[in-house]
Amino acid sequence: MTQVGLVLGTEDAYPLEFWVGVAEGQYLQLDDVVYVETEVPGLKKGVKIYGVVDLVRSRYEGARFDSDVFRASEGILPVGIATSAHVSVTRVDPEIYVPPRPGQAVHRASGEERDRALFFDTMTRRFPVGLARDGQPLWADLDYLDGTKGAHVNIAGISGVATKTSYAMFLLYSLFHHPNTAEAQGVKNASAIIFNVKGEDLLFLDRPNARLRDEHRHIYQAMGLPVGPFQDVRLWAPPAKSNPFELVPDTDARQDGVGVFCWSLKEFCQGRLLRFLFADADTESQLAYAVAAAERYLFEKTAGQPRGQAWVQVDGRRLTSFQDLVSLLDEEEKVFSRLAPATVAAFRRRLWACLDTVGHLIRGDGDLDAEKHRIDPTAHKLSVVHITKLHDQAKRFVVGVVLKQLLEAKDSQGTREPLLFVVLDELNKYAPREGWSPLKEVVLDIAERGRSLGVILIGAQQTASEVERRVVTNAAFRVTGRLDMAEAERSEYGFLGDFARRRAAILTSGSLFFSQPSIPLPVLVRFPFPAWATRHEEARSPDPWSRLR
Amino acid sequence: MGGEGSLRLHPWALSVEGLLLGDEEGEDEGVTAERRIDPQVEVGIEAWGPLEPRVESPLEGVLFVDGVRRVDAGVVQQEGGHLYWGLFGSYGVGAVECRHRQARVVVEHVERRLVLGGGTVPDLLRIPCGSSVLEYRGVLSRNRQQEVRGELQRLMRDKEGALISSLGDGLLLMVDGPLTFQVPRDMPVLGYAKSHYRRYLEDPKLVQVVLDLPPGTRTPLFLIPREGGHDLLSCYARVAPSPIPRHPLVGIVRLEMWAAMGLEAAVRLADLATALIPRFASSAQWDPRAPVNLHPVAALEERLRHRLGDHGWVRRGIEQFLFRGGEES
Repeated sequence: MTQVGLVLGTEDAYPLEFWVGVAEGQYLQLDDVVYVETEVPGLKKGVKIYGVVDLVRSRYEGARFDSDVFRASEGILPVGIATSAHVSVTRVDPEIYVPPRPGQAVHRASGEERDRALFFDTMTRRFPVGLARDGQPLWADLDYLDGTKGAHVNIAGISGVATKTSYAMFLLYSLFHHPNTAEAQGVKNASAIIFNVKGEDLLFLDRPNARLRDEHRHIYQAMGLPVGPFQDVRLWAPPAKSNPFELVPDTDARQDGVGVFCWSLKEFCQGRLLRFLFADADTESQLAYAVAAAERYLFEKTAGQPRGQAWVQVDGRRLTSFQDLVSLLDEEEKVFSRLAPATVAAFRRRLWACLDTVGHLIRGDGDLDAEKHRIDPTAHKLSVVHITKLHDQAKRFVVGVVLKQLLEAKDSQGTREPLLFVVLDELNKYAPREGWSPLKEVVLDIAERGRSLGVILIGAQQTASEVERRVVTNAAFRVTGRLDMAEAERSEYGFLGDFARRRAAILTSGSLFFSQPSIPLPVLVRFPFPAWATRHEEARSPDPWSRLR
Repeated sequence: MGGEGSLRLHPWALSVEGLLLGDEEGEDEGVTAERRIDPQVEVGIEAWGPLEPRVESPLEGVLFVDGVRRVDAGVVQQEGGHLYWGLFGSYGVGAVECRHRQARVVVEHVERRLVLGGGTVPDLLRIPCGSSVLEYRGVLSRNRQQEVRGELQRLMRDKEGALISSLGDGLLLMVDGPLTFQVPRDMPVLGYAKSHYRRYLEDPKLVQVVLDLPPGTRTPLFLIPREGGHDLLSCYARVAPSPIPRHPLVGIVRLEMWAAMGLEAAVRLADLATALIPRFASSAQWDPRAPVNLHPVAALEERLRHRLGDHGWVRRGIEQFLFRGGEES
């Protein structure tokens, strides 16, 4: 309980903001947590007003002109120096909204007072989401993530510096490993599916990071987290096109322990997955009729065919590859009998284009064991779906189909728990603000119903302004890394407030603003260097001798 | 307050007496008419001309001393058929030390007085004013409005004198305004007079020298005879040039020293001061009395005036006090 200064009387003090004159020999910096106690007539105990410093200024007193600084430095003009800090109020306890009075003592909040200032005392199930600027953990309330009071996370920031995916992974790591939440109901058996859209940086989550140093370990320890890689990770990659005979994962840096995902033709027809080949947001309505007609046709014609069989038979024609299916739809006129020829032509043109981009993901090989290649996100704690190398169209197809299938599974399961987390970067691609697509519908479905279904979206994008508004606003936790100046001015970032907006433009790698419903202000956090490997050079292979005992 | 309940406000005194600058009123005090001013103490009248200051070793530092005063409220005390003029006044004195390329206020004092021209003078009045209580000590003066006001000036000057005696660790002491108090002979104290109410030099040839002074030079010393052997040695110096359309006295100040220190010491002091002051000249945007109101002094005055408290607020405290018949709350 250090007194750092007094409430200023030369600037107005309000119930929600005030200025502090910083005392000689003391300092306040941005993000410092402070409190002041003020008396209210008739109240036995004072009202405690807690807040966070969001502006600090220092100026001459007794000087009138800018050039006085030179006179002062030459020893001609006597001046004083006054330093003051602006405080935005986070909490008033009890809730009597009076301003602090000029001259009242302002204290630096630590320990219990800090917990109260940031509402940590109200969080019964909390987990760390990074270190605040004072080196203490910033906690988040699980109630706002698991659907009890809210759900979903949205992360924004320019690529490279903002480290969106890294932070999403850190959040999951913290949630799954912190003693407060690791065993919590819903989290204990929870699993996560992560779409790896850039590079191969998520293919080594299960390996310890060889570049981790002690200083990084200390940050984990400061938050009460163990240091290590993710456990029970299943990696998925698409089949390599180069090998038509055997299904081998299409990855460069890592082959071992990587499963190959694909869908059987039967699944494709029975699951009505064709729409996800037309998942660009600009799908015209006419084309949607053609897609619906083709889906219906394929569904009806393949109904009742044997289980465990990948290929399908349509009107006596045996389809064993995606190409067969494309040819069928190209030739079969009766499917589109009521549609304009131009629409049908457009549909076929697009379908042909898919052959090369998505064809290898939809297979009808005689010996294909579809179950083996099916992504079941609940079978492992973490499933990483590697779609980096896929064409945009194929990426949309995979994301759309996986999300649709997991939603259907959750729907039929009927309970919220255990939770299923979905990490998806580039939301602007999958749920853009403009237009409609079946994929956007699925993402929106998760954003809107996920809370009750137990499907939690950890979404990320460079610019929240380009993502469907409902997807962003449904997120209880809003996280912002470095933003482009112009982007930061948009209304989507109103939660940051004026000062944080300006700072968002200069955030460094590893620092983000974290906003949660429990705390009325965004708080700057930094999160540690990953304890898991993020590329091949960082992956420390398991010690072969460790098995010999 | 007992009998002092008869204190009443003197309302329109405010506009005339609201804020007095700590200036050269009383410049003529004690000047004797019997002996004439002697311009030949340093050089003969034929050799009168601008003198470049000779400074052998640069100054280590300088202390500027100044005071400000203010009439907080004018009052009239009625006792029977007698009316006595009076005032609630505040004054502050302080010093700025300029040394090692650093200027800082080293001392500042504020005092408050109730000056009355007669009647019952209270020892101490405690007047609640917002978050503090202002303490006015009672002082008796002669019963003329001018005298009452002059008393406040005198009190401030005395305080300045007391301050100077407590200062002075070998630094040059520059007092704003003419010298009105005695100090030990060996104290390097200079008076710094900015206004020119009185003409000390009658000879037009000598006056021309003053007007033509280049910046950073001074006139030869001249002796100002005073009563009781408190003679002064004085000279004019130019702080800054006076461009057209200003009159040629703008930028000229008059320095004075006690003659008791001896001619040699006075010449040395005058040279030091003449060389020093252009550096501290204020700019027109800073002070209406620029360039002669030096920066440290201008800043000190502003600060002291600030320390006197908000005038309207103090005045309201006094009014309220008088309205309640002198009760503290």
